[in-house]
Order: sequence, then structure tokens, then C-alpha cells
Amino acid sequence: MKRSSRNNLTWILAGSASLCAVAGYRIYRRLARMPALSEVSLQLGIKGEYIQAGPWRMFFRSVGDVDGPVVVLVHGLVISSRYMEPLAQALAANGYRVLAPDLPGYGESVMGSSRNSLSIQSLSDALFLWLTAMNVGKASFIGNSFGCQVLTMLAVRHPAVVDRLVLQGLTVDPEARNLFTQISRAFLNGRRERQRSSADIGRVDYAKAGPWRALTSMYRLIRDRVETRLPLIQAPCLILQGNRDLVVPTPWAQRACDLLPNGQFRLLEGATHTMNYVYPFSFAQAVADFLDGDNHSGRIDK
Amino acid sequence: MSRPPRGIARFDSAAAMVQALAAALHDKAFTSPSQSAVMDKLMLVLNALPSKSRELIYAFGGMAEGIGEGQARRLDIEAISEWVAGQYPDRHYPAAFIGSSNGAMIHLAAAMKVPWLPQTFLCPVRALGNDPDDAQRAFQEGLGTVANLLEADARIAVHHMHDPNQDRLMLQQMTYFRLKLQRLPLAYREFLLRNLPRGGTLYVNRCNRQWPVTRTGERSIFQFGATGGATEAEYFHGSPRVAEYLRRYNIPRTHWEPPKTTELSPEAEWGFDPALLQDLKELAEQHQWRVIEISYVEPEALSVPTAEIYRQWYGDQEVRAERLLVGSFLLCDPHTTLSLRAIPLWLLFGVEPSADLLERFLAQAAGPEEVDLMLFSHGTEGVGLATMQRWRQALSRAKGQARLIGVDPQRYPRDFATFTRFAKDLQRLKPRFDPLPPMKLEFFEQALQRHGEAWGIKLQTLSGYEP
Repeated sequence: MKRSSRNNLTWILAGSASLCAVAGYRIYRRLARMPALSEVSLQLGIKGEYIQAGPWRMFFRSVGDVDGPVVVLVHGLVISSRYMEPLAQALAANGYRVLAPDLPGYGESVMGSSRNSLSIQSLSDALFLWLTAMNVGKASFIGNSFGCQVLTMLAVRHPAVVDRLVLQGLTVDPEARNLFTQISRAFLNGRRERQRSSADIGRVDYAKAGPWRALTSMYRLIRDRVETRLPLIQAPCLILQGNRDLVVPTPWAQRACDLLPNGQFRLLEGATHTMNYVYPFSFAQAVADFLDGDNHSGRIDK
Repeated sequence: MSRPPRGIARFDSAAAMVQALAAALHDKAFTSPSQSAVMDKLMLVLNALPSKSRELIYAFGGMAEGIGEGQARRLDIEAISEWVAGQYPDRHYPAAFIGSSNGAMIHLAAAMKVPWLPQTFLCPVRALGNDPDDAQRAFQEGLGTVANLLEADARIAVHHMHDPNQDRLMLQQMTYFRLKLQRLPLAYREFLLRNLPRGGTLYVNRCNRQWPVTRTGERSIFQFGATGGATEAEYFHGSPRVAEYLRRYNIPRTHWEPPKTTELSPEAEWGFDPALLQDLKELAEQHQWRVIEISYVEPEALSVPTAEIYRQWYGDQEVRAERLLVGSFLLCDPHTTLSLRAIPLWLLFGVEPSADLLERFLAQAAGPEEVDLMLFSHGTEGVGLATMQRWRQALSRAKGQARLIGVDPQRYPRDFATFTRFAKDLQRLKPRFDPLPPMKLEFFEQALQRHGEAWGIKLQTLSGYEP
């Protein structure tokens, strides 16, 4: 190839790469600026508000009867309460007051630094501060994936606020404590969910959190040994597992249940990892008995 | 409309009828069973070839629908169910159908603007070098795939279906497995919970057609032959028509020798497996749905009552129906039927009993003035297939003008372009009208009881109050 042809090719490649980078950045910015509530959210009656919780200005979604028992939904890794809306709607239809905060650094709950992520312990403390700011003395909690890790920490550090826990898709499987395995499992699980995928929401939330925070959050997820906390949780706890969940194998979910002093296990046949988004009504039905049990004391104090 | 996942055939009653009904609920015509513009164009090219080449390409083209024997073990029933449920718009429906495939039923569902979830779908598995007429070999060689499919999901029953009379072309390189849901997949459950509010009605479409089968396991069955032009006795004991058919295809046999049957079972394609009822009743009780079972024996039992229900429904709204639109197997378009204010008459296949039904209907009915007939082509001049002459004879009973829709009479039953042309021909029909308000559930149930009695159709309340 002549030198001039090689030069031309280099310029073409460099120009194409620059154009792709600019286009990618524009998409990233557009996603990061996406409003908190969509048209669909508003049609479903979902409200979005901010509240100061200690040092954090936290965003949360709410729906359902204001006098109903409180259920708090805690989101997974890097994503936000945005993908909890379908489950919130399904639970609200069953008479619950559903609250779903964005933990600091994710979704609409912006942190000062664009890179740092809070530790699981700090996230559980932030959740406790938010509950205090919301006047929620005690509540039922439902977590998905990484949200379960935060909730188990909350149940250990602040047991008085936890009436009962539902842990769905509890990460991280101790037998697969490496990032590559977790990402490949999440990818394969995503393929199973592609007919009703939460990937579009995920892109928005990853753009809002930023790539550095996403990476450090993944690091924290992998490092956390949730199995050491499970024996310390006194509140009634339901492990809800989908038998098509490729991120969390059923044997690990069963083992996690065995570690709980007050644990129950329920297998939802056909369900995948992001059950709260893909099968929200079946999810709500599967936890109905557990949430409706005696002595439900989740209320907003007035 | 998205393409279905691997493991469900598009050119089959369940997948095509779901798409036809879903198109109607989206206010659109059903234009392409393949859901592929490329394949639709290829069908037109294929039709220009000589008949042997046409058969060969059609048969090998069908292989694209099949999965491998090893893939059968990984068949994802939830993905298929999610695809089915995902065809319909998400909104609150007053009712939903579930159960047997039936072309007449989807016209009723379209008039009521409600969805239908099929219990049975076809999973074709590649098997090169098959001998369609060697039933014993097919039975033995299918057992491995049956085991794989059973392992794939504990919620299904597997009906290995082998019909050398009607599926000859495809059976040379494929094996047909009809999978029946015995338990409700999560995707169906979620769809119903999302879209059927408390107080809604679940219509269980229950076709009680049975067939002599050989049981191969608790959840598996081998079925030789199928509902269509030939009788059960012809499949199992032969007949002059069978001998003539085999001679015509140069098969050195006078009859087939299928494995010994052990029992009667719900017919693989149309029959309803009652094992599904338990999940339906439980879910209905939790959500206060009425469950109404609509049962009948022959798949075509619903056809004439559906036509009469449409006639009464149009009449009540002072609509003058001047056209009869006759569907054939998966060739039916509920949306176009409604927009033409046409009366639908669904026929099972292009077989003689279906031609007889059409002829009787045209002779006895007060009758619309025009008749338009679609004809499904499966490429085989099987026992009991009605000839083009027979169809013309049936159409001659029409009170007014009678036409073939999308059919090339010279090429029938190897007229594969009909899968594309039927939609184009339908789009040319005029005049069109604005949508009618949905048919009310109360009207539907009363009219079905009234018009269905003579056809052995029974309505039974399984949960909730009486209709």
C-alpha cells in the first residue's frame, strides 16, 4: 500500500473514531439528563420527591394508599428505583404504601463526587437516615440483587426499623466471587429477559451514576461477604428465588436461607434475576402471604 | 410484531392465530405468517418454479423453523410464552381466552377485543433422512428428543406427532412435537395478572377431540396421524384411498404400520389437556375471575356458530353483512373481517370435510351475497384433500359472487405464495367500515349457547357465578 493511501486510511479511521466518541458522549449526556419520572410513571400515579436525609439529598418514588402498611423497595447495583416502578404499582394495588428511594450516588440522588461510591455499610446508614427523615419507624423491605446486600446490612446495624425482609436475587454467590463471572451471568440473564428487558432503564441509571462509580460499586458488590451477616438477622426474612435466575443460582439462595435464623424460602418457577421488573405482579403475589402476616407494624409515624 | 424465539414454528396454528388476533387487537391486518419480508418475497419466487422444485425448497425452507435434537433439552418455554403474551397490547381486558387453538374462536375474541393464550404449540426438530411412511422408525427415533423436551421443562406434555398424509414434505427432514402446557407458565400468569382485573372472565377454550395414541411416558405420547382428510381407521388400517395415495407418491406400501396404540388422548394439535385447569382455577379464585369453559369435540364445531353469532351481532347493530370471508387453517384475518363487516367462517384445512361444511353452510344459510375463500397449501395431495374442482363446486352454492382469495388454482396445494398473496388480495376488498364497539361478554355467552347447542358446544362455569 502506498504511503499516501495509508495516511488517508489513518485519517478516515481517526475521524470515524472521533465521530463515534462525540455521538457516544451525546447519547450519554442525553441519558444522564433523562427526567426522573416518565409519562408512564405519572399515569400510574407514581410521585417523585426529594428529602434531606442527614448529609444526603435523597430522591424517592411513592405510590399507594398513604395509610397502608409501608413497604420499602431497595434497588440493585448502579440502577435506581426507576426499575422498581412495576413492582411498586403491583404492591400498591394490594393496599400497600410503597416507597422506593434512590440510594446516594444512584439515579436522582446525586453525590458530590462523580467517582466515589459509598460502602454497603454507608448505604445502609443512608437508608436509615432516609427512613428517619421520612418518619418511618418500622417497615417491610424488599431488595433486589445488590439491594439485598444493603438490606442485610440495615437489618444488622439498625434492626429496630426492620419489620420483615424480602431478599430476591441475593448477591453475591460466594462460589462466583469474581467480576467476570458476575458480568457474564448478568449478560446471559439479560438474554433471558430480553422480551421485557430493563436494559433501557439500566442505560439511563448507568449514565446518571457514571462509569467510575459503576466500577467501584461492582468492586464493593464482589468484596462484600453477605453470608457472614445472614446469621445475625433476627427479623423474619423471605428468600424469593427465580429458578431461571442465572445471576444467583438456586443452591446458593437455599444455602442463604439456611443461614438465616428466621428464614423462609420460596421458589418462583420461571422467574429470572430482575423479577421485580419482568414479573412484578407475580412477585407481589408471591410475597403477599409473607407481607400480610400477623403483627405488620410498618407505618409512617404521624 | 417480533419474530418468535427458537422452538416455536411460525407456520402453525398457535403462532399464526396468536399473531392474527394480536394484529386485530392492535387495529391492524394480519399480513404475514412468516413475519419476514424476505421470506414473503421468496414465496413469490418459489411459486414460479416447477412443482418438484417447489416441494423441495418448501421442505428445506421449513427446516429453518426447526431446532436441533440437543437444543431441545434447552428449550425455553418461558421465552416462548413471553413472546406469545408479548404480542398483545397491555391494557385491561374484560376477558381472556386460554386453551385450544381455533380459527373461529379468534374471530370471537377479536370481536370482543380480548386476547387468547394458546395451550399448545408446535416445536419442529430437525431430523434429516426421515422416512415419513415408516411410523415405527419415527416412533423409535423420536424417543431421544422426547426425553430432551421432557427434561427441558416439567410443566409440559410432549406429543410426538407423525402424519405422513398431511405433513409428508416436512417430515422428510423434521420431526413434529406438539408441546402442551400442563401448568401455567409465569409469562402467562403475569400477563393475566397485569391485564385481567378482578371480576374479569377467563374463557377456557376446550376442544375435546381425541386420537388413539401410544403412551411413551407419564408426560409423553406418540400420535400417528391427525385430524384432517383421512379417518382414524384409514391411518391405522389403511383403505383404498390410502393405497392410492401411497402409489401416487411411489411408496412401496399399501398401508402404514404404526406402533400399537395404548389409549385415547387429547389430539396433539387441537385437543385440550385438562391438566392446565388446576392452575387456572387456583389463580382465578385468588383474583375473583369467572372461569367459563367452552367445550366441544370437533375443531370445526365452533365455525358455524361463530358465523351465526357474527350475523346476530351485526344485525343487532343494524349492520347489513353482505360478505362471507372463509378462512382456512392459519389463513384468517379477524381485523379485515371486521373492517369489511364480513361474516367469518373458519375451515380446518383444505380437506373434504371442510369443503362439505362450507357447501352445507352456503346451501342452508340465508346467506351473504358474496363469498371470499382462502385456502391453505401444505404441498401434499393427501388422502381427503379437496380438489380445486370440489372447492368450486362448494362455492357454486353461494347466493352471489364467489372468489378465491390469494389462491393460484393451478398450483394448489403447492401454492406457497398464498401465504403472502392472501393478505394482498384481502387488502383490495372494499368497502371498509369504522370499528364497531366490542361485542359484550353477556351477548357472546348467550349467543354461543343459542347457536352452539346444535353443534354440541357446552358452556360450563368452573369458577364464579353462572353465565
